[in-house]
Amino acid sequence: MGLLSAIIFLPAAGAAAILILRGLGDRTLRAIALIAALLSFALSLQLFAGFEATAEYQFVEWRPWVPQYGISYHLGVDGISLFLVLLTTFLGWVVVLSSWNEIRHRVPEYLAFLLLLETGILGVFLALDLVLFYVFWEAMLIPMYFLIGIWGGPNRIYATLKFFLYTFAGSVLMLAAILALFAFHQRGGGPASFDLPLLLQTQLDPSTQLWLFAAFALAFAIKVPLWPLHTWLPDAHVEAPTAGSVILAGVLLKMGTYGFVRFALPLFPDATRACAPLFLLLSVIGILYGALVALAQEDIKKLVAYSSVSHLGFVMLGLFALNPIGVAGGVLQMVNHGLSTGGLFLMVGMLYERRHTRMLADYGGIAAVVPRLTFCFMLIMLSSVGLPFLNGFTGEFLILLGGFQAARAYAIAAAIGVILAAVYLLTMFLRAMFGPIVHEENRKLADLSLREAITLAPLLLLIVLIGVYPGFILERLEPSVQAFLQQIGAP
Amino acid sequence: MPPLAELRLAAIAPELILTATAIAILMIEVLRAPGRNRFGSTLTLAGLALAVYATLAAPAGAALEGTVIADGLTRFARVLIAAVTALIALAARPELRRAERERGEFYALLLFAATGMMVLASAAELMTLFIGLEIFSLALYVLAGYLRERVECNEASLKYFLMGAVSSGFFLYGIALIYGATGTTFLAAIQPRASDPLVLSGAALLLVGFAFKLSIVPFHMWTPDVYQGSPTIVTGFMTAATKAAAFCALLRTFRIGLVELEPSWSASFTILAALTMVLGNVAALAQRDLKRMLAYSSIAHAGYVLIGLTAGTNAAAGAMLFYLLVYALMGVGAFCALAALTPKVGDSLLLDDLAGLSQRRPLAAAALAIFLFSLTGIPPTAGFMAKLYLFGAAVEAGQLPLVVLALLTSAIAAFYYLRPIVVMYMHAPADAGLPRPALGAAAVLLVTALLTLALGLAPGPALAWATQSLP
Repeated sequence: MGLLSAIIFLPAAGAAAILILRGLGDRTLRAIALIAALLSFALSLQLFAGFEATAEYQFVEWRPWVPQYGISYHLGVDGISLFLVLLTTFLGWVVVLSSWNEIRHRVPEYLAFLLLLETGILGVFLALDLVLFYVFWEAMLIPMYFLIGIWGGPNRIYATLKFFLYTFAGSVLMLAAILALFAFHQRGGGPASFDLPLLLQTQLDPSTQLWLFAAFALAFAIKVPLWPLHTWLPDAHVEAPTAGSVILAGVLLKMGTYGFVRFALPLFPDATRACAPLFLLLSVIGILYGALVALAQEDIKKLVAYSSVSHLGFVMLGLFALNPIGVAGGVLQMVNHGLSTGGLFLMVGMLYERRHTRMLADYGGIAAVVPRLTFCFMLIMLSSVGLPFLNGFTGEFLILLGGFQAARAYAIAAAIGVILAAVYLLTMFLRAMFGPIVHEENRKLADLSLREAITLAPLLLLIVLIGVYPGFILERLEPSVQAFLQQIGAP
Repeated sequence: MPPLAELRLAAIAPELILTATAIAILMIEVLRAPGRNRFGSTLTLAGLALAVYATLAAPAGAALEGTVIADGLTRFARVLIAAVTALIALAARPELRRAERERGEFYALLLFAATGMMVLASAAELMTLFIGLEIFSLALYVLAGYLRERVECNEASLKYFLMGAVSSGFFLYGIALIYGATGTTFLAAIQPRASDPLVLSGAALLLVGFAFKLSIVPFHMWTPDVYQGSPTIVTGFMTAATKAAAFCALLRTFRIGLVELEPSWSASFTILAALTMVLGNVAALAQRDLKRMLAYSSIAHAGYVLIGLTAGTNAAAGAMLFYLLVYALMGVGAFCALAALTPKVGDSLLLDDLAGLSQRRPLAAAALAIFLFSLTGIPPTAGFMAKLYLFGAAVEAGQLPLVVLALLTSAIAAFYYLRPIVVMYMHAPADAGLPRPALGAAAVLLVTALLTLALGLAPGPALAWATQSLP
């Protein structure tokens, strides 16, 4: 078995082990889940170490799956997927650790679904065959559906059905487009195949491209979520358990943006160039809309959810700038957003565990009570604001630079979004942490436990590391970004 | 009459074996222990195993003076029907015991029905086709009313019988017209003279007859009531085996016999498929009775399978057979799960009865969830692969609009398939617990659930088998 397969399926193996050994007691099962997730992370570090900064797909695995239809088990990693895989496996063990005490009922199933979710997401990032990709893309809905529906908040069933149906309905047309692409490829004289590198060579006339691009883009835009298709996100985020929210914000949304980079844009370059202005416009609307709605939130979790809509708008802006700086910034920002928004949801979860409320009005002045927690929260919050020398700054800066080259007006409007982000995040932080203590319960809150500190420490480290030295990501990213732009035929 | 050797009886050995087994079961019961039957299910399984062996060992080619043909399609249909019958017999045993109605006649009727289905799928001549249709229909009319003290059961049986009689009328009239125009009922001989308008009308009537049996809209009216009223386990048999046999026969009649007429019938198939998918899925949305919901879902799936015929290519026909195989697994599994979980045999389960099932009966709930995900068409289940191949082949044949419609309706379908899962996994357990599935039923659930997953992960061999089964 190759390294990539091992990374993908180790969590699934952990899930199987947990379901088989479910009688062992929750502590042991949690340990098994943690070990499986850590092993997968360790292997992805090995992947990072062995990765060479070229545009080629590396660690490729290829074997026929359903040869009659040209479906293959084709995996590979390039600079773009490498960091998303690292992010996924990293958050994978972080969420197991973070939910150590949060989830107390039906623990075996919870852990199993969490690990299966990780397998599904990793598969999406590593698949190079369209059917294999689609299988992972859809299969990952099942564990997420259960995670929100069983362990979520009061309105969880509505939220999980909305999440599932929205994404499923968005994806079925993509399946039609995949099948059509397969047929067109064959009609053009190519072999019967769903292999991405082969399908990239398909010659399509612009109007066909437009239709197929629309079907792909719809599926991905719902996942991102791009304004105005974002309405499932606040519900899912607010109702999901902390681990679900972290995974959702941290990596699941990146499946959408990744889908654009890996499939929708390179497969249909003419349509991409034709539609780029529209997507730039929607991205900027999303940036401003998400920020403005976040300003008005009283619920911290909702606030962070809407900040996601805004931040993902930045990622999309960078990608559709279609120039090296913008695209590199967009991909970098995917990772950054995963770390900082994932971190914010972790913090919200920790506050909730202490006070069982997410309302800003119920907090206030707790900085003196829980100084260590406040420090971590502040650092993560500032990274989300985009403070220089923290990770968020580099990504947003590159995106705005790239956006400025592509469409000046949009970049200026997006820059307003940066300011708004500072306003709503700092206001939220001030109201939650500083000021006088108005609720007596807040005087007795416990500070970070050792487990929580261990959960947060690597996250904080990465936030600073990427902020100070983003080069270690960008240099590995660059060849893939160049290849991507070449395929699209962008200047 | 020709000498026995020329009839090539070996080619119809499976049907002969099943008939003999059924008669043996009836005789043993009468002679040994009237009213009780300990041998029924064992003998049934043995007979079916022998029939499968005979199917695989039998020589290919025509038999009984060309009225029956043993080719790849026949073999596929026979094995599938035998497998479904075996699973049903296994799951039916505990059901019959619970109802205190374990009688030889149940197994005998099951075997007669299977025999009729096999005849239907292997017929190369219209009268033989009709006889096969009648054999299995008659057996099913009785099986539908097997729990005769129940009013719903009687209603289902009567309704099914009346509707079946009407459809037989259409069918026979169609055969008569075709015979009148061409002077033959042999499928292979019709083809050269297919351009006659009488043949066209005859073919249309045949199609109506088939559409009744396959519950294709607008000939589906009987399905929800009959599926709901019949004993659940019998419903499982109807949905899985009848569809397999009748679609194989439909494939043979129209793709081989009346292939010259393809331009005329492919358009009507397209319309029927579209109507069936839309109505089946939309009507299922409103159901709270699970049997009724699955009845509408089976209508919707018949619509999907029809897409394979509209495409008119070999790849699509192969994908259609694969779909039938997968649907048989999911259908048998889902109905067996419902049957085993119903407190009183023959009753219907309502959506809310499943509340919290995942905590009371985790394995049964997991199996039912797998079937429902598979019926929706979500990977990594077989239902996804079946849709992928079928729709893929249809797109290749230029049926993109129909496939888009099919995919959109399957997004609608997700809504009602997910609801039982919500209730099982996300609601608090109900006060009244549901019974634990008996050993036989549990085995069937395990096998069908595992196969549903296996065919989703490694569909290659089964797909190859389905594709190679085409003549």
